[in-house]
Amino acid sequence: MKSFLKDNPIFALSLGLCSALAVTTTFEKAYMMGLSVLFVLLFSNIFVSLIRKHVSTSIQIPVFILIIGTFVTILSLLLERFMPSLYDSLGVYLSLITVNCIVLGRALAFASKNSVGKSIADAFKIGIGYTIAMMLIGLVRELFGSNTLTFMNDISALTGYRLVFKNVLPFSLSILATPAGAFITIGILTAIFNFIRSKYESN
Amino acid sequence: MNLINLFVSGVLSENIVLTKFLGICPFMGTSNKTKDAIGMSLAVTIVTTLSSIITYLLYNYVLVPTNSVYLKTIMFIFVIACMVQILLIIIKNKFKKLYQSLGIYLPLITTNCAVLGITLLNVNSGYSFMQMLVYTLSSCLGFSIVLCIFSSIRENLSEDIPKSFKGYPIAFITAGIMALIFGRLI
Amino acid sequence: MGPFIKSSNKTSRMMFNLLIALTPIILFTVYKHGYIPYTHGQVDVFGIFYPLLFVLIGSLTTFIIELLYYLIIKRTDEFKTSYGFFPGLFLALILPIKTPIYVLLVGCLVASLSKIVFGGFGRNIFNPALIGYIFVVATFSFVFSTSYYEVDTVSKATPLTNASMVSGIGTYDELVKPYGDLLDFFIGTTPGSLAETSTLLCLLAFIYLTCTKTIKWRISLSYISTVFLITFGISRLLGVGLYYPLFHILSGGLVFGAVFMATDPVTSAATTTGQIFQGILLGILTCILRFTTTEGVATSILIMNMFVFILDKMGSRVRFNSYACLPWVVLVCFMIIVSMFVLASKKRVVAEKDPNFNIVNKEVTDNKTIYTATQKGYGGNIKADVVIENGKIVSVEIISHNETKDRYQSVTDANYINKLIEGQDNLKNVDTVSGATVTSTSLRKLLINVMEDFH
Repeated sequence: MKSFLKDNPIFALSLGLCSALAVTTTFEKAYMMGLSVLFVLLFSNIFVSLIRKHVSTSIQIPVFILIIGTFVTILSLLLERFMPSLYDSLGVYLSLITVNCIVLGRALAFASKNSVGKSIADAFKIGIGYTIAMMLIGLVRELFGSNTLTFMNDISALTGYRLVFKNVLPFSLSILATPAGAFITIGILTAIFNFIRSKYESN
Repeated sequence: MNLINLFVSGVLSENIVLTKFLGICPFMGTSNKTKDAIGMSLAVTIVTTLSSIITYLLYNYVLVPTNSVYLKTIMFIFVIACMVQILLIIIKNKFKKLYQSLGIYLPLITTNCAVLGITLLNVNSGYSFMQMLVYTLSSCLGFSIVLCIFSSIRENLSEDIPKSFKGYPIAFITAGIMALIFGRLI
Repeated sequence: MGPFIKSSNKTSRMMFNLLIALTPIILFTVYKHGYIPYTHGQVDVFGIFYPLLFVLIGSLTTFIIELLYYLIIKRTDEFKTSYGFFPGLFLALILPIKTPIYVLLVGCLVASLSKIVFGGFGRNIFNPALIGYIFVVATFSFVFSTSYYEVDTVSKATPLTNASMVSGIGTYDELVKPYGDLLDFFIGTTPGSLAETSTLLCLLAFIYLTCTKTIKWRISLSYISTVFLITFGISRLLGVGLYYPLFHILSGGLVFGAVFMATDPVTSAATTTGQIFQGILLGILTCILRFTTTEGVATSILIMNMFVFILDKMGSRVRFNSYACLPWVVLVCFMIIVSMFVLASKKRVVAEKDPNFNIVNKEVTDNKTIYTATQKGYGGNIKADVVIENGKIVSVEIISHNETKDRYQSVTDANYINKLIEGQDNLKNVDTVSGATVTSTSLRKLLINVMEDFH
């Protein structure tokens, strides 16, 4: 809980915002993006940690970016094959995980200096915090914005099920589904987060 | 789709920061001075334009014919990283004065969503060469305008903002209002 | 901080003068939307005062919200100078008379929040009433359809909406005559929001407020002059009469916005040169927006709110008694002339219609429109029912088509129709289905053409 409050990549550190704002129009896209980042983070952390002793600091950044890029490409090929409609809806933001500040940041700050085991744990910690934050934003935006709740729609190609709720609430603020709404949602959620954190810290 | 419409929409109605959320990191993180904003926008424009041209040619004349389109992410980021390095070396040696104002921003641009994003959007949308140029330039112009406005607003935010909102939240809300306003334009 | 006046006595006097200036306008709206319906038997005696009630509800809502906020953060002394009722007052005055009360309440909430979140009175960047207004436009867009405006107990489209449906530049008969003559526009017996129609009363308010040194008159003057210059230039270029620039000055809440909203002391430029620039840019923006979308004043004012700091920086470097201002003057004239030409040429272009698209049936009810339309697909015409509610596509049902089985299957498998509905704000960018490009493009074109007709 404490690390969720302190290190949460989206709310505390404000990193990786491009995807947080762009793909959180539905709950499903949000958590799938979160899991994708977790996937890339995990494997890149492992790989970087394995080769950390053989890479000098001056060429760390380009090498790590290439490693991350490789795993992003693998992920996008997998998604394109197994869940094509999800691949289409995520669009360019899937490839943009390559330059997601979180992934590169963890590789530089943690995985390049720690063992494989610790790097795996770190990847999970950060990745799950990120996914939870994404799910929160996606939940708010989809539920209050388009008045639906999509648990499984695009990924039905893989799981074979669909789980979509429609007209859950008696009203909807369509503005939340727009880009402006994305900014406002994340602003208000971050403010609430800051408030909770300050209360937690003053105790 | 005629080029003027493409240009105007790239700057206004499909502004890459306010509608596509690319380039948010420098947007939120730039210091509050307008001078830094101008420097950053200039650096982004130069890197993006040059990288777009190269990646476009690379995509259409190398990747597509050899059926290796899936390599685009890695190749594009490679091109961008090299471009940044080359520019850094050139500016450092030949334009020392320019280096002092622009130099610090260049390394940050490698991981900027905007640059990679624009190069990928160019090839995903299947533009012709002229369309690609117009789109890239208009997106960079839109980015610069929004960045300058935003930094001038942030310079003038007061100290009395509610505590939880200071820093990022108020910046997001300002960006949201700007997105709302820009969304009403052509 | 912020470009506003420092001493609080002066501020309270300013606010008092503003209220005095607004009183005739509020009384006129009681007459127009209260007394006239009473004489026609539409409402009872209490209905006469409904407009006043509407305005009071708006003002009280923002007042109470700010009161609650300052109570919660325990800074009630600041509340005394925060003038919390003004955002709600102005918001109520720029909404149509038949706006539901809950919409007004939500708008006022947003307006108050947008003032509070920046730090309260004197520190807000954007005009709070306009933020509330733009939020209402985005969320409750049905409020601005024709049935919410009323004059003489008949619902009529506002003059600008009417103008946007006219192709080309519009003759006197098309633009002015449906509402009477230009005098009607001047007095204010045309459809519009509560306060924006009466140019006469707004001008009187302007004179009063300028004489009492309450508002930054340079902004209003340069704003209205610029709009007049541009529309006059267009009328000269296209050979139409003086009615055209006069029509534009007298409609769309231009004068109300120029006098009351653009001159808001907190969100407008402080330096004199900055004010003049602000007015000129406001004029250019309003004209451009009026020709491309329907409503220009609120958006232009908000855009200039963003530029105010840059303008002040420019303004503090230009002195009128130095030759340095010459390039600025040249630049300004250049911008005005360019806008005139751009807008005049836009008026000449007639919209091209897609020959492969055809509307078979169009059913319009309250806030719902049902289109039955055909678009040429790969094999023949695709016929579909498109239901639009509150300005947004809610469902698309394909009635018949002549596409091959495979193609149609690919489109259904890819959930393409839902994708189009999801991406309806930007239909051109919804990707087509690979393997069924023509079919999916035709579906997309169908929706694009339907939406073009709808708007």
